[in-house]
Amino acid sequence: MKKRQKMLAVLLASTMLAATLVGCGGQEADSQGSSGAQESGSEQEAAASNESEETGAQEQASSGEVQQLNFYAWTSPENMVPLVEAFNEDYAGTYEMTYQKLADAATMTINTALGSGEPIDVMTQASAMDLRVRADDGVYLGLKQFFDKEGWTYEEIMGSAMEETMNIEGDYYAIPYCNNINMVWFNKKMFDEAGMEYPQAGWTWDDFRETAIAMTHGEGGDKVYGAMLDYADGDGDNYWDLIARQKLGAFTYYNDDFTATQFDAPEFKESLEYFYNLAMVDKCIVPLEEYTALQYHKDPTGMAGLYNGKYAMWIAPVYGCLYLNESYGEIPEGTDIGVVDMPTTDGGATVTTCYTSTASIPATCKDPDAAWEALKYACIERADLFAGPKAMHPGYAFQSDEDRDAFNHIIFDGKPGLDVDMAMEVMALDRTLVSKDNTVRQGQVGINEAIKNNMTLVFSGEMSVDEALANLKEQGDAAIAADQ
Amino acid sequence: MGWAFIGLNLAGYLLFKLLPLVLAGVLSFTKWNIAASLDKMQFVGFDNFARIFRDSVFWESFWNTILYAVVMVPIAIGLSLILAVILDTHVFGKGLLRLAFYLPNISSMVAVSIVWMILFIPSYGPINSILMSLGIDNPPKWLNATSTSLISIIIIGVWQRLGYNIIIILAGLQGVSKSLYEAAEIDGANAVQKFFYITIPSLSNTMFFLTMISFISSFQMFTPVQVMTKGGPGTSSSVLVYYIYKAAFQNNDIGGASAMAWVLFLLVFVFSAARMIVSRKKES
Amino acid sequence: MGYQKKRLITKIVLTVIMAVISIIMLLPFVWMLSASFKPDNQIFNFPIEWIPKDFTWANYDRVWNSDVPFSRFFTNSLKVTLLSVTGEVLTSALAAYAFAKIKFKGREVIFLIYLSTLAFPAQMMLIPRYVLFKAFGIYNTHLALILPGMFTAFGTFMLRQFFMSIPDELCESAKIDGAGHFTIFSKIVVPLAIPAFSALIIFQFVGSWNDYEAPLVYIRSKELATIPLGLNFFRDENSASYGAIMAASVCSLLPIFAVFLAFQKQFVAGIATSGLKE
Repeated sequence: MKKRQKMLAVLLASTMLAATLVGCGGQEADSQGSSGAQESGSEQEAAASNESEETGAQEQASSGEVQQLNFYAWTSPENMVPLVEAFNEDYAGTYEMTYQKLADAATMTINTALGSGEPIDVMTQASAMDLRVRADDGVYLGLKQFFDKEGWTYEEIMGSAMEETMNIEGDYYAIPYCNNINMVWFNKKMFDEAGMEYPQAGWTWDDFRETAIAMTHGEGGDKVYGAMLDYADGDGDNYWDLIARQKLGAFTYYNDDFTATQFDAPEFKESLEYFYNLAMVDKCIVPLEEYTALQYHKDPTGMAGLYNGKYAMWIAPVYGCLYLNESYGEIPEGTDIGVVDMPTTDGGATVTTCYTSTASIPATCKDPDAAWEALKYACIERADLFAGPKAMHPGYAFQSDEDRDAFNHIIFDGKPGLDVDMAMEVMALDRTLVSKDNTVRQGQVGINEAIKNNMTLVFSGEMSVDEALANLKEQGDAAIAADQ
Repeated sequence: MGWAFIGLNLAGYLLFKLLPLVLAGVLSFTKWNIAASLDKMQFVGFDNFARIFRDSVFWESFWNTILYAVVMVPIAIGLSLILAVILDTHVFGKGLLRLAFYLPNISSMVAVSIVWMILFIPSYGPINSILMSLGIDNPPKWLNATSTSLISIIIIGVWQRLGYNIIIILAGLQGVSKSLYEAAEIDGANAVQKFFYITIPSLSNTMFFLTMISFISSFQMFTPVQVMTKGGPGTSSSVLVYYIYKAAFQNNDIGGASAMAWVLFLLVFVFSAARMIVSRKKES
Repeated sequence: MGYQKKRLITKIVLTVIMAVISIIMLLPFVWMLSASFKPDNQIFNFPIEWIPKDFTWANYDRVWNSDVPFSRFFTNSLKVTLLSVTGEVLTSALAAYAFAKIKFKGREVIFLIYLSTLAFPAQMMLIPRYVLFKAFGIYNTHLALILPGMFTAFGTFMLRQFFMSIPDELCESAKIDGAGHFTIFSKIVVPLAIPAFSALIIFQFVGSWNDYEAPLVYIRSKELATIPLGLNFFRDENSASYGAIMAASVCSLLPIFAVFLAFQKQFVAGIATSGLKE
């Protein structure tokens, strides 16, 4: 009986505690709630301020008040310090930039932030599809007006490859703040030990295959593979179509007028058959099952696998060198990582793939001209402070070799175990870029789903190359038709 | 009087559960981007429903979900019933063992999935190494084959569910009167007889709860699929909530995702209504 | 004597079997622990190295001593979890009592609705709630995390089932003695259902403590982040520091252990029966 009373007492006490706490919580929420209300009110304000924008800006200027600008990205905060500090110094007295870190780059995270009514001046995203959807739904401002005001054209600043993918119905809704160029990283030490020559620009896919076979040895858990690449991961880079992309160019999946897919093109068969043979016949690249289980799709793990000698070559973007960094753990003594351009079918001019992350101005932004300053600063004027620390190339086209080399130094310098000279030399070579960014909305979700479904079957050995491509064609065309 | 007791919970429930649920119902008839303001919402009638009913991956996910639930729930409940009875009385170090069984529920999901993916590696992972040393030449490819991917997910599901079920059953077992067991022992009943004639009948209310909750949560299973197989190979391990999650959280398709969620909800509604009518008829 | 001895042997054998099974249960936890003491570039070495080759405290140091206010996340998690669990136990217990022990019109229908709405995928609740919370003005406040957790159908359903196991005769006899429903609830039903409350507290504590998606959708400010959301600060552009995340996960498990060990003690046979005897 006593025990029961005791428990009842505990229960009642905790209830009261809860009640008090809730009371306090309520108060706290009130204060936070009111700021929230202000924020949600800003939508209407924003609508109103669109009309009085000019006067608003003038007021700002005349009153001498410093205008707050909110820059949203998912970069770790310490990497943002240089950019924010430099901007606030350059625009001291006019603008003050604040960095707001997003939890991640996921579609929903960014959509909820955009829909929350918070004052956002610059928003970033990794997905080209999300960019397209947001542009279509009126979430972002068209940027052509600002390029016009500057007296620029998108093409001359960003380059024609970028212009092609970022052009949405004649306007542009984002600026790529980085350009991730695919390269082949290789472990020079392993090549030396095997008595193999280093791969050179101008090599062919046949060379790649021979090298990968030659570098493969061992059995079971100790097996060393010739290469590791992400050929069929659902959300990954999908290198199974790499050769088709090199040959067919941007928007590879679509025909010329975007009314159907072109998975029946011989280039797709060539590409898939090639990687199928590497994985399933020669078994000289890391198989899908190990790739997923050992988390090789995470870039630091991918780089660690390379310098720890699990494979001799790794196909990855340039920023892969970022993970040559002691903060991920000690890098083995004598690590020597080299880099070479992507092979091609004929060994002629280099063609390689790239993809971007982009930055945009939300339509609810209070002062678009101010936001443009921040956007331009981070993506174009001071990309060295935004893309640079992340070891990414800027989205724009370099105007001179000096600009290019200076930027490459930012990317490659101070990476322990990297052959910086080789990296500098290789990046100075000419190459044609094919963008992987897919800003076409029709059928894209269905096509990606079909690719994931069929490619995991191919690389699990349960489906033939021909059957997979036939499925892709049929399912992709159906998806496009359904979205038309 | 009943309303006085229920009032507080009901009010909160209406506001935070039923209202959002109805709103999700409204969303299922629309096309809307959460990033845009509410006035950009377009009503599209039954388009979303028509679209998902035509979608073969939706149906495959639907059947996978039912298969998962129907296989996983009885196995997990059966095993945890036995383990819980053992853990309740017949062992030393109860507290620690209970914690050990509950650990899969609280360990980081990333850790859980990585460990299982490595255990399941077909070519030289620990599980297949053991099987091969036992003389099985062609062990299954587990997560990496269409024929076994869902089975592997079921194994992981059972493994993870055990600790949870055990706690519920343990809580239920405390309500079983000791005097019943004592009486049975005097009558010479053995452990198995006691289990079937006393333990199980006394747990009927707990078991009803456990069965319902297990089915409902297995209809909602998605994290292992999301982290380990992404529904593959092919669509062999795609389940409904994973498909819904992908539509809403990755593919900007809130309307379609809400429609699918409502289909799932209606399915369970019919299921639980039937279950209640049956149990009512039994009572009367 | 022979019977006693046989019992002891059975008990030892069963303990050994259970211990062996529990090793399989422990694997991910051990992996977590081991990864938290490894540098990032060795976490995925294969075959699995259960004992770190280069043992390091760096991950723990990073979690507690970097710019990321991990202790802040910890306090936030504690606040959100304690409030929502306490609230849930309270409101569910009252409602469950009504569903189990009071007959009134509409009871079955409401219960059926409660039961079936449990099946609505939690992920799809997030979006409509996000819209509502913005309208209520509680978006980006802890209330957005606490309030939905306070009124759950799950807790109500669970407690109802346990309350139903309590013989009606007990309540009836108290009623004859002149006790009202609240007295019966607090003096008879609640004390008899302590194991059920313990189980519920464990579940909801874990659920709320580990919830990632709700904070991801409802919380924007770093200052308000709970641990699972806060772990994102150990991520950079393209990847995550697994070591730091595992170290943070290990730390965040400690309160769960405490709650579990405290409440699992309540799974002691005899509470219910002693109630019956009195």
